[in-house]
Amino acid sequence: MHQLIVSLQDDLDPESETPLFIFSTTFPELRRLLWLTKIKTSQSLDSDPKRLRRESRLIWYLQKRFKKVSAKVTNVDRALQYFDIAMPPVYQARWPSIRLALLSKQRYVALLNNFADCDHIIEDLYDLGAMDIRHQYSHIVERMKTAEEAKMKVAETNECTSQELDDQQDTKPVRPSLIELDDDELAARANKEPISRYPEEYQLRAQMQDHEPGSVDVEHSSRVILPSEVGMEGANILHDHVPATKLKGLENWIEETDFFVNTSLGDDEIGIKREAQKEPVNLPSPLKVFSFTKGDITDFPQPKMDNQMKVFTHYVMDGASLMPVLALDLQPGERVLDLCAAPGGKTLVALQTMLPGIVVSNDVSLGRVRRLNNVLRQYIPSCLSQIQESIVVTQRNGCIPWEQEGFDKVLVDAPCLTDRHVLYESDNSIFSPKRAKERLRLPDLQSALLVSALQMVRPGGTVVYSTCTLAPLQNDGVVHMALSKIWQETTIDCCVVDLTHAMRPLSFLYRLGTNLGLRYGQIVLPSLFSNFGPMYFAKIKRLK
Amino acid sequence: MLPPLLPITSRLTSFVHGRGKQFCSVASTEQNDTSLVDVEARVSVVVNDLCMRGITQYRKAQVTCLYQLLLDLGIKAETIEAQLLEMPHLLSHSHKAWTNTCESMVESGIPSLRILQSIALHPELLKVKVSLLQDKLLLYRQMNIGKLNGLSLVTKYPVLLLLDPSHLKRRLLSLDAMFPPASLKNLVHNNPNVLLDSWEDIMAKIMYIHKEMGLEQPQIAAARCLKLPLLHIKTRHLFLFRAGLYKTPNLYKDKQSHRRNPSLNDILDTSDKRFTNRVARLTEQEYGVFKAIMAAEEQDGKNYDQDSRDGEEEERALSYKKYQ
Repeated sequence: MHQLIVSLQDDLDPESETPLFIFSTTFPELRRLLWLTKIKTSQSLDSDPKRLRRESRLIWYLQKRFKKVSAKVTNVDRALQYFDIAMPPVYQARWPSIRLALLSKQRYVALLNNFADCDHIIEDLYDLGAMDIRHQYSHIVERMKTAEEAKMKVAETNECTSQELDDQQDTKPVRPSLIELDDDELAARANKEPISRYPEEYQLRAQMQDHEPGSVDVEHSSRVILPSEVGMEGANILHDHVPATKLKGLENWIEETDFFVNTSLGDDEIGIKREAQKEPVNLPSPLKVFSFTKGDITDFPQPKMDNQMKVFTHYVMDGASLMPVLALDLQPGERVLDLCAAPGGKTLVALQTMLPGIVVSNDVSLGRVRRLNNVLRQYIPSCLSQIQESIVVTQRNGCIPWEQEGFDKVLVDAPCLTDRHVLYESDNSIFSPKRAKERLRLPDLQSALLVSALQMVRPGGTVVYSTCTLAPLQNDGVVHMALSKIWQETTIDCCVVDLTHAMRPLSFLYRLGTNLGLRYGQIVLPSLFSNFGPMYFAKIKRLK
Repeated sequence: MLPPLLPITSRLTSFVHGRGKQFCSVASTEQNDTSLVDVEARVSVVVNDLCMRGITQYRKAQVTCLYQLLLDLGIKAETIEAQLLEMPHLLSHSHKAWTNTCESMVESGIPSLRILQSIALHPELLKVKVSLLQDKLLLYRQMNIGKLNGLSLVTKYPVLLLLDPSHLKRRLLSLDAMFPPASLKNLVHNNPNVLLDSWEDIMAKIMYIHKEMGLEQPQIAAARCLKLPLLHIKTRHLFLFRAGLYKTPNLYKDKQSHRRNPSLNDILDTSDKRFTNRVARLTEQEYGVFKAIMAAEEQDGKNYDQDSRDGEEEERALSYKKYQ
């Protein structure tokens, strides 16, 4: 049955104060209603032509309302369906919270423009309750250092005397307070195997009972059915247990791992080396980033034009976009390449650190290059020739390396599913059926970009690969594919830099995904509390 | 001689006694042996108590009259004393007003204890003209919509006596058009505010639950959902919906599909703590942030409405002309 909302104000109930609403009318009821209106129509046919018109309108309206309307499936719906199927196995208990955050209002950070006069805007931001993330960051880094030093000392004293050790243990809490741990660590703790409480003796005895000689073999042989035993008629029975090979009802569903088989190779097979970055990431001093504290949803003010330099005062961007640039660890005078730069947020962050000697911003299509140029024009003053000379905008296909070993640092912010965008905007979405092929080819494109980036970076330089999606194949999978390709086809030798420790202090602002089984990179998960990201980034160092 | 069909036990007699009390008539007052209660002594205790608390303006005779009246109605002496000591301002009304109001309510068959409760809740009832009150009671008594009777509603919600009976009638008729009789009874029982709140508010809530949450009349009627503000309903629903924990049921295809979601009562009529920990299994802080987001969105929507209202009104006027 269909829902009906009919206003029959003067026809059925003259006393009711408002339109009379009828919903979920059953079919007989509807027929009665139509019949009733028809009777009325015929009665008043001669007397009132106006009334007749109104009645016929009513019938037309009822008929139209009663027709079945099939709901249109939008690209946003498709995207959501994809995420609902693909993400829960990966993120498990964290998925509802991530989904909630993805579909809710995003939070931003404000990147101040060093080329504009920002004193006013800094005051405004402080008034709104925003904070300079540097203060908190340096504070936390210091605290972590002291904690580590204390730990080292404890270790030293342990070696000296056991007497002191007991005293230390008295003062120290037995286990770290659960409040200090973030939720992911808590989950890991809960999943840990429980400590067996039985004495060893009992366990051994139980094992003895399980494995009495002979009994195991008998068990197995009794369960195996040989084809010869079954015979011709019984062949069907065996077929009953053949596992399902097809999914019905999900025709559009394409398992991406079917297409990319070589993602399942082991680490050793592709010669991956690892290296851990111990010291926390460096926040360059010219970089001024303002953010609100966790859970504060205040908006940033609109950027204002600085009349003297003709540039805007601050750039409002997704907080997680900061991470890949920080992971690059820029040094003064370096040559930096942003391979997929548009719309230019990360290029701007790199420029605002005032460190790189030259920044090459590249993108593939003219429209995207235009957007990039617009942003650069709005934020970089045209009168400063020195800074203008250090920016080069190119329009090339990033998959084909054009300058072997020409850059110190390369940032690959690859095109991806753009989770937030596809869940918000239906127009020209990557989830539209027309672009299904393009979507499936994304991991290929991404790995090609990463391979070419690795070819363009000088030995000793680093490449940071980043995406803004949660899909594991486009993150770790692509890094794996690219590295195996490099191993198989080139002589380049590279190692993956583990940033787990280096990014630790930034957890005051972001929700860093831990215990997700990520092998190469880090991921920033969105949560309502700190609604940044998603952002995946992996740092790869070229050795030879 | 045939034996009596039912043995007359003490339980049965007490029940009969109770019935007699409920429908307070001349017979029942005769049953209540008022002579057993020493009115004079008890009234003096009450007056002394009031004097101790500094309330001296009520004379003993005045209190005695009211006391006797309520006692005659069949209310227990302890109840009367407690009520008078709790709300001494009840004594300020004239004895005539009390007598008239109580008489007309007794005539309609409202239980005596309910009469005292209604008057204690709404002392304005004593100021209503007797003829008007009687008319209203008569109209309410005649009102039978669905399985609901006007008088039983009045007994439950005495504030209706201060309003026009036609209001209740209109409201019940419009609700009756949407809800089947059994659901309507549940609805009014669970959400008595539907009788008095503004119709637009209630309609907005019902339509939100029906259209956005995909639920039907029985589920709406079974939950205490219409008491809560619309923003609260929206926040709770969207919180679950966006987290993927609420799937909009399609009750036309699958009649049980609403059961896969948490029940409407669990979603709406729970404390924030219980809702986040038990129903949604997310953190309370996240819900706090989400509430703030929704409140901000609501505020933005209102501002936008105010901006565009002028334009809309003009448009409406134009379209009205066209229709004419």
